[in-house]
Amino acid sequence: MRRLLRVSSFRAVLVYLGLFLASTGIVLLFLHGQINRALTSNNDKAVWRDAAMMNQSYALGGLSEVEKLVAQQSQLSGVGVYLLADGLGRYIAGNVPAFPAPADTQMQEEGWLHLRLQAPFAEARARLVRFDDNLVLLIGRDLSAQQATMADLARSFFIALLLLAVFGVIGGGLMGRQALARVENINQSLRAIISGDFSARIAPSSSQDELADLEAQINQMLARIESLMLAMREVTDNLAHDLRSPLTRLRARLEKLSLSAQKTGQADDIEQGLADIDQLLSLFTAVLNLSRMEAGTGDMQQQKIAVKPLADEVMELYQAVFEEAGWTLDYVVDKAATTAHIIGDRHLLAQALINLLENALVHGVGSPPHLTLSLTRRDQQIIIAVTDTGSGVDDHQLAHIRQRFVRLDESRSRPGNGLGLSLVDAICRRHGGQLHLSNHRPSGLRCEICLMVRE
Amino acid sequence: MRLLLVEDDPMAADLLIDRLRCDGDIVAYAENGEAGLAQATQDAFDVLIVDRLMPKLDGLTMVRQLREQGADTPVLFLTALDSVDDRVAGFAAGGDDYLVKPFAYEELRARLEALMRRKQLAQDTMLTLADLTMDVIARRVTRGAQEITLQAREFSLLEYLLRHKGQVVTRSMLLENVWHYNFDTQTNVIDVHISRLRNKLDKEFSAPLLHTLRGRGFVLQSADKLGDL
Repeated sequence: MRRLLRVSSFRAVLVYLGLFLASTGIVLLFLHGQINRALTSNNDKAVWRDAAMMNQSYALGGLSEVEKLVAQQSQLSGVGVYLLADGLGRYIAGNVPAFPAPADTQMQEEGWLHLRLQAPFAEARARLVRFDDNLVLLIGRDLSAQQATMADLARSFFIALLLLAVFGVIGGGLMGRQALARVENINQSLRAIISGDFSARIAPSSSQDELADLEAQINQMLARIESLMLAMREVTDNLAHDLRSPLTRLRARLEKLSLSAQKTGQADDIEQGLADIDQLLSLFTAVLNLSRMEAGTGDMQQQKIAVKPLADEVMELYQAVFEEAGWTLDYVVDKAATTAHIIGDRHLLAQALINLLENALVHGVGSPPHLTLSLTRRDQQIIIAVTDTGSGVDDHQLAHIRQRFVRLDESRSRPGNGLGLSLVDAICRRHGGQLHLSNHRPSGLRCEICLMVRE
Repeated sequence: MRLLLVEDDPMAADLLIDRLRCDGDIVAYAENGEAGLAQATQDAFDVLIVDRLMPKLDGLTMVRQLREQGADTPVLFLTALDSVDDRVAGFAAGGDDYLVKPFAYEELRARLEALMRRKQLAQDTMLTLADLTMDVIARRVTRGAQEITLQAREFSLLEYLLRHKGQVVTRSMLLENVWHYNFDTQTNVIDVHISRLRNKLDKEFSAPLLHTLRGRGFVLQSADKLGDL
């Protein structure tokens, strides 16, 4: 439901529905008032007619004639309310035994009275007709029928509004769901592309609305991105080939020279030259790999990988290295993490973890040097964390150390090319995860590889 | 060793052929895949060294066609293409090893030796060198009368070294074949594992078997035969 509320079309439907219901409500209220007024006005006319008739009969036959007529009218089963009384208000004839108490009498416009009466009547609208000082007639109409009609009407109107609201919400929900399904379709394709599949396209929908236009535009954009990526890949591949060929010859020449230089004593210089070439090459390879990884053009296997065995293997490889260097190690795997699987490339993930371990080995030496590798399951994520006890990183530099060629060691005397964490970061993002860096208390750096678990 | 080098860069080929001939190999040369295929089908070679990107017929297609004709000569791809997929494609086409340019000559040398002897060693289940014996099936290692207890990975490492006894094996060969990682590490991780294995293997014995050759790699061999390497 919360997701549906986020869909703009559903929100728009809700807003329209609200406005529509409010205006319909106002119209119905107005209609209700008009009908009530019309009924009242009809009643009033009937009372005026009655009064005219009574006046006429008084003019013709005086009290006895009126008394007869009132008695006659009162007999009629109907809505008429009559009370003929003398100057002191005493009952002479009619179907109401006495004037209601002042509390039950309410003065209204133009001499009309609103009365609360005893059974069988409930409420009535009436007026007084004064024939002479000694003879008064209360004449009116009972309102219960009109009130019942108006209550029925109000109930009907309310039900109508309620039905409108229900159908509106359902319709809006359906429309929103439909829009949501299509937006979800677009999102799915975009997610595939973000994780590196540049050949993914949005499946075209059958409708020809603005959303279909948008899909077509996105597909065109994707085609363009794909062709750019392919072009870039060709460039990097060519560059790799064209740079490697002369380097291969240079290396072979130096090796050849090195053989003959054993006698002349220049062998050390040449060995150094070879080492320089190898360093150049490893830097070049690292930059190339990183660029491919960041651009998503690098090859990546999509296999189901059990995380713990992968970490076990890397840990087994490096445990000896850390121990030889005088480190102590902790390897902690929480129970929920032991069976976690992810989808990705075993080699790349192993490389990411190895980069973090080697990083700690070079930059995270504390006193005493200690490393913790932990696997933790947090909801749908598996977190592979490497924590050292070194001096950590200044908080303001934490954000920068994953950038290319950033080395906090100003003199650049420690080994490394400043690409290690960049590559880990790129590998994490290629797997739809993240690399989190934080300082560990009391001292040390904590690097977390966070990846989505796939069941 | 009789080698065929198929490489489209004549200068690089010259330099490599010089080195190989210095080491006593007989080297034939073809400058594209088509010529390479023709030569490989005509003459018998111990190992083929094949570049991947070549005019006329690229290395992958050449090796695939060669394999289709039933030839099982070991092939080492020499290439500037270094991605995992390129590597996988190389093995899928019928290559036996894969070396990315530029490479150290010693690395190539070690891999050629390994390729040449691989066939005859793959099936053995009892491996021996001097007084060292490994029973691959029972997973037992003894030296003289003494049993040596090894962890699983140490066992694999020793097994690989024994299957290539007397040959130089490089760090990247070990990382690829024992740990199955094909990227370079920044630390001396392989050296550490070798030195641990050496502690178990050689420490209590007078004649060391596991040797480090500076700048080349490691070799498992009796000390008296090291001079040949």
